[in-house]
Amino acid sequence: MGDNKFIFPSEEWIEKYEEVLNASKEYEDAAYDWEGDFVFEIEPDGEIIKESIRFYLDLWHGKCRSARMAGANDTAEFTYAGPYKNWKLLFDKKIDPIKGLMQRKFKLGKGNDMGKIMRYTKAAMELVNATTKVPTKFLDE
Amino acid sequence: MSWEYDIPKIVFGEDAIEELNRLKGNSAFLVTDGVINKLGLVEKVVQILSDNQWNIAVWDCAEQDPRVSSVREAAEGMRNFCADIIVALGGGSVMDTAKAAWALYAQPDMDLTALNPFEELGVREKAKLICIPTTSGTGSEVTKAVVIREDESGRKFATINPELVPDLAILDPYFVKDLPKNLTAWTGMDALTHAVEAYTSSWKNAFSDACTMKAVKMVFEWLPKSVADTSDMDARGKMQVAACLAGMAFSNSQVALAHSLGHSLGSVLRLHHGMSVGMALPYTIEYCCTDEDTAKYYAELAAIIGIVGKKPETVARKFAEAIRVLMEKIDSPTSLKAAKVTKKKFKEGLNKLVEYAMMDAAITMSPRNTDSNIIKRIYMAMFDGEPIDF
Ligand SMILES: NC(=O)c1ccc[n+]([C@@H]2O[C@H](COP(=O)([O-])OP(=O)(O)OC[C@H]3O[C@@H](n4cnc5c(N)ncnc54)[C@H](O)[C@@H]3O)[C@@H](O)[C@H]2O)c1
Ligand SMILES: [Fe+2]
Repeated sequence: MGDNKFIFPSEEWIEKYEEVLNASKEYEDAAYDWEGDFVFEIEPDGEIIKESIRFYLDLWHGKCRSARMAGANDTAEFTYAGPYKNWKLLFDKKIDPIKGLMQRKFKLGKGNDMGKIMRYTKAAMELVNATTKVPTKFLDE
Repeated sequence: MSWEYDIPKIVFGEDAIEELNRLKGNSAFLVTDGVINKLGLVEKVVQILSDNQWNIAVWDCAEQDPRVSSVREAAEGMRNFCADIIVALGGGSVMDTAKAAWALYAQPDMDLTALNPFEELGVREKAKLICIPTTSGTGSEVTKAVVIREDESGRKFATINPELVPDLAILDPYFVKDLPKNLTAWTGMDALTHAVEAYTSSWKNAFSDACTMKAVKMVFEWLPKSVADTSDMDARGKMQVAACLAGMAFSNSQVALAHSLGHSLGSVLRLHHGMSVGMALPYTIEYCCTDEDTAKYYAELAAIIGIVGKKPETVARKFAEAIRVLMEKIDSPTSLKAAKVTKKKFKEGLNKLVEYAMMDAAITMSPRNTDSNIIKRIYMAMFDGEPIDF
């Protein structure tokens, strides 16, 4: 890791993300009473990503209690999923996390509790903002 | 990245209401409130529809800042009547009742508090929506937004869905002729707040910007006239257009911090929406203008009303002051104290004010990030009427 960048997606990346998220005062403040786990999913594109890659996050009262790479069968209360190229654009702040959903660049899991998400949009945004704070090197770079 | 700009057909000016003669269908469900009905405004609409052989149901029970339960009643009425057009005649509260009930008409099992921008509703399979505003401020007649209150907590929640853009907006000055001074002033401030927030929000775009620029110019010119002489029908017509332009702007680029603060004031202290967001606007400008790009945007708006200068941040602060001067001119309070909120009531409500503002989706659009402590400090400044310098 000569240039101190973390390859996305990888075990090291998610470890770093957990550290960054737990250092985020903005996230802690916005999610102070949030209870619920999340899966970030990078959907297969048939080129760089052959099978879907998933990260599991256990989020509790403004902190991330654990974060790890997850298998296809790991479930969570919420899923935020999109193809690899859109994750890259998200990290570059070229896609806005909420607009991204409206533009169908990302999607939330079927049956996710939208009422809850709508009450915590700031927390959700800070969750995604934290991804942009991880020094990231992409698989195809 | 592609984006879209959604607006309905707009018919405006004297006798615009005649457009109702061109509607096709059988059953028209009219959503309004008791005040509008007493003012005799409903009669004019009913007359045109009955001349065209429509079956008409008038539901005049819309509440100010409608609660979920009230919206459910309206939706029930639409369903029982098998409405194929919905006509909303009233202010933002009436139009939002109609829009949210339209969503429930199409999706009876939906939890309204979960209404979000991402899901398909299929509202047009049920009916079309025509909005006839009787206030000049919310722009709800052209927006994809609705603002509803939870029954239990009284919290106002704002959300958007692209399908909720009405099919037709009719801006006929006849329907705002009796709008009293205070409501003229407050709703006008809502329009200005929409315009300014749309221009600085993180979703801003060229189409919204164009609408904002005209709206800002028109509000500064016509709002004082509209308040000073309530019989000035020219000024009233101009404010209708300004509010509609501002609605088009924010519907497609969103509102931000002033609205999060304002929705919370409506929930906790039950202050009028336009009065609340208008009051918050200059404070949020002062807070956000430390961001370099945002200061430039404010300076561009300031130039429209003749305020120029070298340093964008300084110009932005002068713009905030000019908005306060406008509010003083039209007798719209510039602080919570001036709005007759007592210190005791403010202190009791402060934690809830902050909590609800943090839950408001518009807060994510603020050009400068916030946290609960900052929100609290802005509210305290708003109480005393102290400009923001942090
Ligand atoms: N959906 C959106 O895009 C949007 C945008 C901004 C605000 N809003 C919401 O709209 C609501 C505020 O709407 P508003 O400011 O139009 O006020 P309102 O609809 O709440 O009406 C305020 C009062 O004015 C009365 N009134 C309305 N028209 C009148 C007239 N012509 N003459 C005399 N009295 C009249 C009403 O009966 C009511 O008592 C708030 O709930 C706000 O959150 C929605
Ligand atoms: Fe508003």
